[in-house]
Amino acid sequence: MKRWYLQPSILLGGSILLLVFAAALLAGVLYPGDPLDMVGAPFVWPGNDAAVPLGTDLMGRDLAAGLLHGARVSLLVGVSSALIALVIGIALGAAAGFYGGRVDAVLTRITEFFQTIPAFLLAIILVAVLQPSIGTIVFALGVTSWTSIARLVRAEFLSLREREFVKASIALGASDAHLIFREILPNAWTPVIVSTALLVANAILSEAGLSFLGLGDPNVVSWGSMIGLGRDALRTAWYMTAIPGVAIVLTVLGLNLLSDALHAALNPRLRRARQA
Amino acid sequence: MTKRVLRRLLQLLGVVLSTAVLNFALLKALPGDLVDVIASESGSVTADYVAQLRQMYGLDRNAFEQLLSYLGRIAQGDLGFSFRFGEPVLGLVLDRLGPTLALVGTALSLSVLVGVLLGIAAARRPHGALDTVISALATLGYSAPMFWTALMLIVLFGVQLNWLPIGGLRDVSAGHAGLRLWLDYAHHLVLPALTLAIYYVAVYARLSRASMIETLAEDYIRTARAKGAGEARVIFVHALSNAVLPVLTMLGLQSSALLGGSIVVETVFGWPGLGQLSFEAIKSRDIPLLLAVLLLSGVLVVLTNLLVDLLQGQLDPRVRARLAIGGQVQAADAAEAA
Repeated sequence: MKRWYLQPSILLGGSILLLVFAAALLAGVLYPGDPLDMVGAPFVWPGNDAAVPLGTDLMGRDLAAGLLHGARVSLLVGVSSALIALVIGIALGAAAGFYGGRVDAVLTRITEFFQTIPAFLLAIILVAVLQPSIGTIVFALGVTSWTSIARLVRAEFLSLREREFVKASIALGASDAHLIFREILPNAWTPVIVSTALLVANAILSEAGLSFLGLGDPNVVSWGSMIGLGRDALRTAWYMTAIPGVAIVLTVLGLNLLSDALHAALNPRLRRARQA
Repeated sequence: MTKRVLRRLLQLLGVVLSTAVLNFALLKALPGDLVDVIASESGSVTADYVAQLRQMYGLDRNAFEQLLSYLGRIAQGDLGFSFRFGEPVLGLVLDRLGPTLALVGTALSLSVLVGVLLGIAAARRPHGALDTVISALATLGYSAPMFWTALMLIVLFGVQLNWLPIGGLRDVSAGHAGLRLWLDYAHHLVLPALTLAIYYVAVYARLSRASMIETLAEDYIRTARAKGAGEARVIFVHALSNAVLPVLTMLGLQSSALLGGSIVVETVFGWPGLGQLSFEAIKSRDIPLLLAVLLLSGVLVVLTNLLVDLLQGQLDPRVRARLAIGGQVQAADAAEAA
């Protein structure tokens, strides 16, 4: 088998993500002004004016500037809300899997309850009521997307707790904190890392959905809000909707490819299946 | 069997109850009640009028009393009154349930059918040409935001080709009746259902591919092949029922995500279902309506999970045994990790 980091999916996914990172970093250099400013005539199709290579929207804003600044919002929201979800999910999953019994029963009920409420609907409610801003969006997406991580970590803890190295540690009188953080958690990272890429991808999709519905931060340009605005001109100028959409698809695709590649590289069971 | 259904129905009751309590608490914790909204919408109101409204909606009592009376009313089948629509919530929600079930049901059946078939086709030769194409398309379909897919389908099929209607439930001005009316509904259903289905076909294709590859590597498949079973028989008789188990589990887990996804799709296509209704309710702080939608979606999710459990039991006796000891969560986790 080829070295894991040389697989096409990881190379493709990695380069797409590097590109998005570069866009986010260069946004301030290439387009130092406010991307919400009007820079030219509205409804300029891409490729018709060298000053605005991707055209302008129906308010005369530069689509390329919006795209680059939007990359910042997507990455910021994606990564920070994934971190919140990770902290909640790992804490609850680890507690449920490690202590078992009544703690597990209560935490599992809570997780199941959150799974019966559509996460996106809950996120909409939270953002609508707390007033849309980057902060409230990050919070809302974080607190609604931890359930899969919690289940995953719980399952890992349940199986790892019974392993001999943990039993040995218990026999040596290790504290719960030592067992959780030093013995079990380091061995549970692999599936968590794989799902983290998916968490970020889902958060980016959800942020775009919120902004599209008019629940984005009104002070920043995001890919979702660009699509929402472009929708008004869908019949005549569909490029306004298509361009930011392609940016979302590529970014999410990059994360999904990366997650797949990590999954394939880090999961020994799958590696064996492939060689067979 | 009966015992399991009963247990699940009891669980359903528990979920409904806790959904009601927690939804209520959540919405109470949020600033701004519906009287604030009415007041801000009507522009100038006196403090007296606001107090009168609060009393009328029972908002002057403390939260605990409000909760008790809310639960009492739910028990009697009274879900409250929507001030936004000026109608009882129950009727509104039931009106919108049909279109959502039609949309989600069509999209889901299509997704499972097409997704599993694609997954099987891809799993026949992992990393072959067909698998590469299917896997690439699936990853792509899984990466596109649904509202964007919807808009692009509208541009292509609605605007450029002008084949399909781009919004609404039916063409009211045509005044169709009988079979023509149903065909008109179906015509309007195509694009929204396709939008949801593109995403979920991708999800199920990926999942069933992975699980089929694993199943085909099992010893009992080798035995079947050794005994001379044809390829079709090996796949559809021996492997399929085991390979679709993770798909079923995912279906249960995703039923709430599917309802969430329908918010965006229904909003884009003006499809008068629960998703659009809940978005309306949020925008206008119509708490009773929102509570009812959340409650109903909780019930739908639990019922879907019940159905999935029963189907799993039918397909896999091992699951039946596991369910009896209440381990369905582990089964779901295993599927998720796969």
